[in-house]
Amino acid sequence: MALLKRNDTTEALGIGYQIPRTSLALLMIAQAVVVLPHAAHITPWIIAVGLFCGYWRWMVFQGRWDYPQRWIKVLLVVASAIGVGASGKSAFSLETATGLLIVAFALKLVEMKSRRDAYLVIHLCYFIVAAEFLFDQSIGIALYGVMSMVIVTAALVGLHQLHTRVRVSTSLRTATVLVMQAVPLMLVLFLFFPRVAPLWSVPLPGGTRTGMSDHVAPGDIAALTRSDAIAFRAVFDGPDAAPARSVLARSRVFEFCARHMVGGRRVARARESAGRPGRTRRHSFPMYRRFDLCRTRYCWSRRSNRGLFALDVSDPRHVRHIGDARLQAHLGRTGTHDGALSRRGVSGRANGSAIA
Amino acid sequence: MWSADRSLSQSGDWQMAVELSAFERSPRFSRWLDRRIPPSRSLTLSQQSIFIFPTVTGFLFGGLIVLLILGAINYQNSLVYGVAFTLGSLFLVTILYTFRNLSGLTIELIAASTGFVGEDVEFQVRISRPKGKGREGIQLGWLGAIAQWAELYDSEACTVRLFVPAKTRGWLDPGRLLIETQYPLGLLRAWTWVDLGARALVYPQPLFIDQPDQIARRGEDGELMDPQGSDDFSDMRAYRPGDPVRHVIWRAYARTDQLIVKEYTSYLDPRLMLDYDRVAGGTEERLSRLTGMALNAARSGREFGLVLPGTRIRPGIGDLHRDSILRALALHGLAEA
Repeated sequence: MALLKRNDTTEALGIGYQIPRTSLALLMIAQAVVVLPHAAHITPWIIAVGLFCGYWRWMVFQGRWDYPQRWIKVLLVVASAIGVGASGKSAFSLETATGLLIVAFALKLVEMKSRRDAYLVIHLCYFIVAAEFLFDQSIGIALYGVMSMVIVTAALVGLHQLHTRVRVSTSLRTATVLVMQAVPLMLVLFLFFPRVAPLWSVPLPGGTRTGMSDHVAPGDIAALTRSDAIAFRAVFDGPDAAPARSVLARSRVFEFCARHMVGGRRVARARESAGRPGRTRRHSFPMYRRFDLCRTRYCWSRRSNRGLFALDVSDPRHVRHIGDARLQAHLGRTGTHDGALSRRGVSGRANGSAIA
Repeated sequence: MWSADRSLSQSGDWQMAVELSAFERSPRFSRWLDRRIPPSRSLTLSQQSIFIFPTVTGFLFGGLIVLLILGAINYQNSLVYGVAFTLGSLFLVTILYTFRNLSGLTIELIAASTGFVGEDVEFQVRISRPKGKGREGIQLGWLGAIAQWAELYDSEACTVRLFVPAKTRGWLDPGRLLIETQYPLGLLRAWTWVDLGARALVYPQPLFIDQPDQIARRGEDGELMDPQGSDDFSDMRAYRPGDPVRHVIWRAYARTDQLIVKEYTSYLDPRLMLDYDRVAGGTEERLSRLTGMALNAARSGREFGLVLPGTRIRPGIGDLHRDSILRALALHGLAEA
């Protein structure tokens, strides 16, 4: 296919394609709108970098400043990369990845000149809108996401209009119509697209939801005893599984809440899921009566926190005992360990990160 | 610090030249194109003539969607699925938008100018759209020339001036005209190649060196006079020191006591014959020199004619005459003449 290529002579004269001014303004607004909800969970200095770059680009836009020198850009990139590395919680957590993404996005501001830069920024905008949903899935954030997508699309529309014709209002109107027309098809895809199980495990935002961490602050334990979050799931199998007369006869997977593990109550609640996700029921039962001598199996997945949960451990394969009766997984491995429930109760730490 | 941002971003259109891909350069493709979109002076675009394909950005966009779906699968996140599917649907909706932006347009060649080698020749192409939705973000360009924007948002028709650099004399055939659009999102490109049968006459590059009078032949009649000549009586006036004594009218001096002299002039042939054989250089250089002389003569309002091997144009005057001379110079020795 024939392509419109930039003319060498015009490039030499520096009068190649320029992003239309109105479109550029719209693009900068879109960037701000897209990053705003992330402000809650990225480190504040990233916002500062964004504001600095945004201010610089605004001055360039107004014709007061020039684009930064090459060494300034290199300095900014290196400093930001080190900053993200130093302030990140762990190397591969979702927060770190998002922080890195947003820093790169902010730095791109001062280099946004050509059409290709604009395309890159717009693709990143869409990606950042989606990334926010990993942290928050409330209705408000969803609506805000739709609005952000309309603004980003409007910036994209502006890139394809004649310089003199780009108006924020018409671009926004076209983008709104486009997105609205895309909605029915989106719903069809949404309903009929097969939902596949995760292809590989990924770090989840917020990390562990229940259990004890290495640091305990006043009130932590009280909060834990009231927590209804699932601490772990246990699979009971073998010939000595739950008695046939039990309501749990067909159930093999049970979920334990931290509240019942840590609190002194003698009743644990397990959720029956028997391989049928849609038909779970909750049962309360006396913890030690039903599961005496049942064999249990715990599953964990690769994660950063190596502490393991267990009711009791009889066959510690792939597991290390450490001095204070804690269990530790070998780092970066996925596996199972078998245990037996005994009257001695819970040992190890209830740490739900693997099942949350 | 001063930035070019403000002054240049308003400087107008994209400075983009139309180029062909290797595929489109193949003779097979052009034969196929000739069958599919036969040459005509005016053409209305339809499915028959519009091609559509994702751009590089479109493929990147597809990559983004795949990435988002992977993310949605791994994080089991419905809203991320939602974003991915919205972008996917947006892509599909855009196919219609991009196609509709070109569909129904009528392209028509209005005029082709003439020019000299080294200049740009202007073609005027008129685009009109049917009533209804406005079109925007359309680019037109001949192969190798700078593309121009066309906007049909408020008006239903517009005339686009397209310039093609003239490199050799004779008929300039700019080939097929590219009409393309990436509106609204740049994810897809709809385009067509129309053959409007455009051609423009390119005159040789003028060379202004020779004095035309050196080639003009002296003759016995005509209007232009050489004031220093001595052939014919033209006027009488008072004596000025230095006038030849021979020219003094002694009879008048005897009667009026004043020295009156006769003025004589010679006649130059005002009809300049530009002769191919009387200028120096190779064929192209001779034609260039003759072109320069013809332009000079036309500017000074002289009658001039042309002698080329095999062609002779009688002296004449006026724009039409000048154009016919230039045309003969442009097409000299070319098969199409």
